[in-house]
Amino acid sequence: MKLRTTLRGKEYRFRDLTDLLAKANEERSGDALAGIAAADMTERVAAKSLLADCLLSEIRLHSPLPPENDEVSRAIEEGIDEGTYASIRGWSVAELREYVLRTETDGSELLRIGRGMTSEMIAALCKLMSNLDLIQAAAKIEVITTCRTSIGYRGTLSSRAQPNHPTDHATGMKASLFEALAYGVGDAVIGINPVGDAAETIKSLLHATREVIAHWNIPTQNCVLGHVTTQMRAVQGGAPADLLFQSLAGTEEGNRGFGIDLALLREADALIRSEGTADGPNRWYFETGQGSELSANAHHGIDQVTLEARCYGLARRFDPFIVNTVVGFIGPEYLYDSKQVIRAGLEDHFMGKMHGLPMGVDVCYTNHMKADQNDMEALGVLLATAGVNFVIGVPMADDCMLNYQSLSYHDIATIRETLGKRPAPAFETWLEEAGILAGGRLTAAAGDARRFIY
Amino acid sequence: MKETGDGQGTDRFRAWMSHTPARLDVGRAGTRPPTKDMLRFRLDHAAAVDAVYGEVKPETLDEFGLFSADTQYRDKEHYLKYPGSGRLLTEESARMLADRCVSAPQVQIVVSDGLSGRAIDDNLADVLPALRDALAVNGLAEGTAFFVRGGRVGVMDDIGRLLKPEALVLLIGERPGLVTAASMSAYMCYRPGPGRRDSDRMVISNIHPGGTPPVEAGAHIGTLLRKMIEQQASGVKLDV
Amino acid sequence: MEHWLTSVGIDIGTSTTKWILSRLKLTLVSDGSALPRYEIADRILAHVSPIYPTPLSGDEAIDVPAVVALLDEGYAGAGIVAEQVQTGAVLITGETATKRNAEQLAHGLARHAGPFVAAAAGADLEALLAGKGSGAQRRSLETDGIVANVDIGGGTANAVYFRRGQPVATATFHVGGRLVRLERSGRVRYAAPALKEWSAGSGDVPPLPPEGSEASFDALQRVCRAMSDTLLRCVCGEAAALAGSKALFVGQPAAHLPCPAEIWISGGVGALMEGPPPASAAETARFGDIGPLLAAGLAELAGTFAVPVRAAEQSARATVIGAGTQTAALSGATLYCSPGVLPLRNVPVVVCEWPPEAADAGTDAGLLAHAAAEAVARGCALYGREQGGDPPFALGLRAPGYVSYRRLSSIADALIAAYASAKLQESILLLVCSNDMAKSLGNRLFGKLGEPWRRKLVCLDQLVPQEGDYLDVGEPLREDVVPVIVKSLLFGG
Repeated sequence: MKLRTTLRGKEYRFRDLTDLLAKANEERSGDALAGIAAADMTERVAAKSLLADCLLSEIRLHSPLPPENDEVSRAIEEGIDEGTYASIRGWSVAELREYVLRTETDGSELLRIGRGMTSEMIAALCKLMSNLDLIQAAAKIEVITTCRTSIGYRGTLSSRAQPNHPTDHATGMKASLFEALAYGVGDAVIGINPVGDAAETIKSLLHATREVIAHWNIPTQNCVLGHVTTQMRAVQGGAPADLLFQSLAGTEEGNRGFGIDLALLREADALIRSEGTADGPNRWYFETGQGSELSANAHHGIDQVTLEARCYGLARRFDPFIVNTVVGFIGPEYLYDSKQVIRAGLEDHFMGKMHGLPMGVDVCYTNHMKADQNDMEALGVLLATAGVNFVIGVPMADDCMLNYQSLSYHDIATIRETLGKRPAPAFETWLEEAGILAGGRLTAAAGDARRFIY
Repeated sequence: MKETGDGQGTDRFRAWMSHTPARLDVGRAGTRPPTKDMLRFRLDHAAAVDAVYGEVKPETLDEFGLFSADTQYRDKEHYLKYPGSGRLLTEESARMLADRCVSAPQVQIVVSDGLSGRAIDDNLADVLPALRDALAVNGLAEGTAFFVRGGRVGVMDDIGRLLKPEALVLLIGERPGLVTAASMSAYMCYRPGPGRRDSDRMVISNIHPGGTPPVEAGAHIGTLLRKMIEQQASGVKLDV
Repeated sequence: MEHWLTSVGIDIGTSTTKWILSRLKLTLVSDGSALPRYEIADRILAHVSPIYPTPLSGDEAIDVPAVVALLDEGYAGAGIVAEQVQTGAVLITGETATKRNAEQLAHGLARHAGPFVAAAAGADLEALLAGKGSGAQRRSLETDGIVANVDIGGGTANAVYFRRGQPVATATFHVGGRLVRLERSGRVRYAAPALKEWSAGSGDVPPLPPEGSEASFDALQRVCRAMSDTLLRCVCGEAAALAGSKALFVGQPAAHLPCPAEIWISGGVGALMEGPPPASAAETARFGDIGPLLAAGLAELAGTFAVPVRAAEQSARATVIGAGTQTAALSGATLYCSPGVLPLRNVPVVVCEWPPEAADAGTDAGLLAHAAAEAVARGCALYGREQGGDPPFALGLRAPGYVSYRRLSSIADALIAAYASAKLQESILLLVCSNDMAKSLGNRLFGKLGEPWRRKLVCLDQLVPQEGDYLDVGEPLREDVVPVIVKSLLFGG
């Protein structure tokens, strides 16, 4: 593996693959905070150039976090389709990029080669791709998953209704949920972030969402995003959950910070498969986001794009129904401005899809980032063009519990209409029967939550 | 023009909406929000951003005779990108504390702008005197209060190292939300110092007139400080 | 974090007596970064007594020793020691309350009811407690319209109306099972004067068989149907029914009542609605009165009445369940309370409404001082020290809008000045704030008051008692939990 190059008469040296991967990243504040970013633009390009020449076999050999030291690495390694890997191991990252972008290479081929790649290979590939590369390549990939209903079809844009409430008040939550439904939002999941992480809270919200789903016969799934152990207690206590949720980190230590490990995830997996209320094969909802390992001081000197890819390597071991990156939630010390958030959103979506994951994005920002709603609208359109499985909707983009901004119910309806995207098929039929959607457009009756009061 | 339904169940939905601060029932122009709701959202966001980039007014500090110490942050961008810089005082400020502050007080009060200077401007005059009343009722002696520009929560440990208070309370501006851009938190720690973790601290958050009432928060903080000193513990170890 | 409160409810009514023991679960519902807040999260009926006939000596007086013995036996059987009881209420309901020895009875039961129990009566409170105990209040939270609960016992029918959990009106009628007492032959032993007046007053009402006469089943049925019809139409606020039934009202007849979307019937008569209707005078008189036939009349009407009418679950015990589980409230958890002052019982409330805040601090202080002086003077006039209470009254403080520290400080000054000028420096200062400000106000007052007055300070909040209510304030269960019973006249008394 070559770690040294001369550009414009200046020599650039890199310590190892970990260093090369970090410095090849597009600029982001989290890498600077970790002290691993390229010093300037030319050094960044130098790193990209050297990475372009790396062979996939070299990336596997020089894993930044060897499997013997980390269970996430082991999970990734154990998931590799060795036959596929053998057919591509001699490719350089540059060749891989061009193969991915070739017209003849379709989505199923990308999914096939993705199964032979480690997360670090997919991260390396991502670092050589421009934003439009990321959009075009991701748009080829169709990942359909099934819980109670199926989502992810080409030409669709699904959405999570996120009717959060600052005190977990069931009526207030429902008011927000009904408005989401009235805009055609909620086909991926009705998912609530609870304030309190008590099993009773989670149970009551699961019952409340299940009651609405049953009353209106809505083709969607419910999920309450507490800690996985609390959700398990709620499910063991008889609460109706279609999905289990958990945030993932890309290192064993990072996951320990979340209070989880592989053994716990496997135990939870067995529980939701036997006690969950859905019939389909996909029973997990995972969330990720660049920077979480660094914020837990569990990053091992690895850059946040590579660590994010490793989250997806872990996630795909559990055949999730949905995965999303909460891209702009973590704050300016990891992604400083809209340029960095937009880049990260496109990277995460592409890397997730290359892992074969049903990838969504929480297109979002906090108020101390240099970003605003215009930036989110732009990223929403870019991701919809890239074929994102789902995005997240909150009333007027303002999440009154988590205190950040995502996309609004209006935004999701607008992106669908502008780009000709449809909700998931069963949900679309339901919306048409409810008189909210006709021919893929909102009807005059749409937008009024009163119709769902019962 | 609002394209909404026929108003069936209007009263009921209004009643339901009264249970949530979510921005509901805004209506639409095509698929987009109406202009006034769009502008209201933009105004709330503007207030939040302006709070992040604003400074605490000198009058606020003068009113309570607070002198200013600095953390190692250089400017707002640096402060936002490198939170660690807000956790350490400059050498000059450290010397100033040694000169001007009572050493090893029972209770050390520190005020900092954090992510919202406005939170301090709007709430200090209610929280601080109520806290001082509470210290008197609980029989606690206060050290020399001061202000830290560009502070993060972790600055408690650097101040703890320098002044060795029994208990420290940091009144700091929170990350602004759209509900309010002027919300304060009070972080408390028993014997702060290097190596303290999040679980050693406790916090009363969302302090503003529409949230945790500032005056009553000041009173409650006094009770918590007494319990911390009585039990010689804070955070998860404290039996509140 | 949770704590349990043991609460008793004792209901001594015109015809029956029952009691319940409940366990109220206090749960810390706030998360760690908020001010602490407790709620009564669960109410468990730990013991439900049988329904006893109220022991009477003659028609006019309660047999106090017999009631006491009955409770002694019940407590022993249930393994309860009176000292465990922390809160609750003894209700002497319906016409029983007018019996001459009600006070003697309340006194006799003080021991059973433990150290902190309110002996309360009053039709409004009974109606409210029955509506809470029957589940009608809870039902009103689930529905748009008003839910009325009509608790029909031996002597009266107590109606309460809830909208979204809040009581919005009450009314009490002379309608009850024991207002006409019967022998198995159908001979009328007694008819209540109010019924006689009602029957005589209107041509539409079938004649009430005179006392001593032998009434036919048919005649009794006609009277019970007419009582049921009039009662339900009055409960629905039908103007003609209200105008024609003035004699049936206990107290001032109502000119208007809201029209409920649902009517729940509780009480002994409600419980009888579920059973088979009596088919003869002899079957009617199985308890010696018209109760079963009145219940049958209501049940029959319920099927066809314009507003849905249903019998409540736990019908017969609605009031006692309400008394045992719904009377205790909690002060806001940030409060101020000098050691050794609580409990306090039967303290009347004087309301002090603070004016809107003036921009100028001096002007505002003046306005506050005036409001405090006026309220304290009113309290002294109504409940002056000659009546012997310490404190003579509690001050219910209500502030419009936000209370800043500056205003809090002026409020403290205003209160001290008002109490001092009324020569109440020796009295306990019992303040009940509507806003969440009790601890800070207590702290401020402590700083301003001298010894020993500063040791007699109780400051509670997040309760809104009305002028003329009475308060029982229990001992703190811990530093931040004080149970309070607000005994209200509710609506204009």
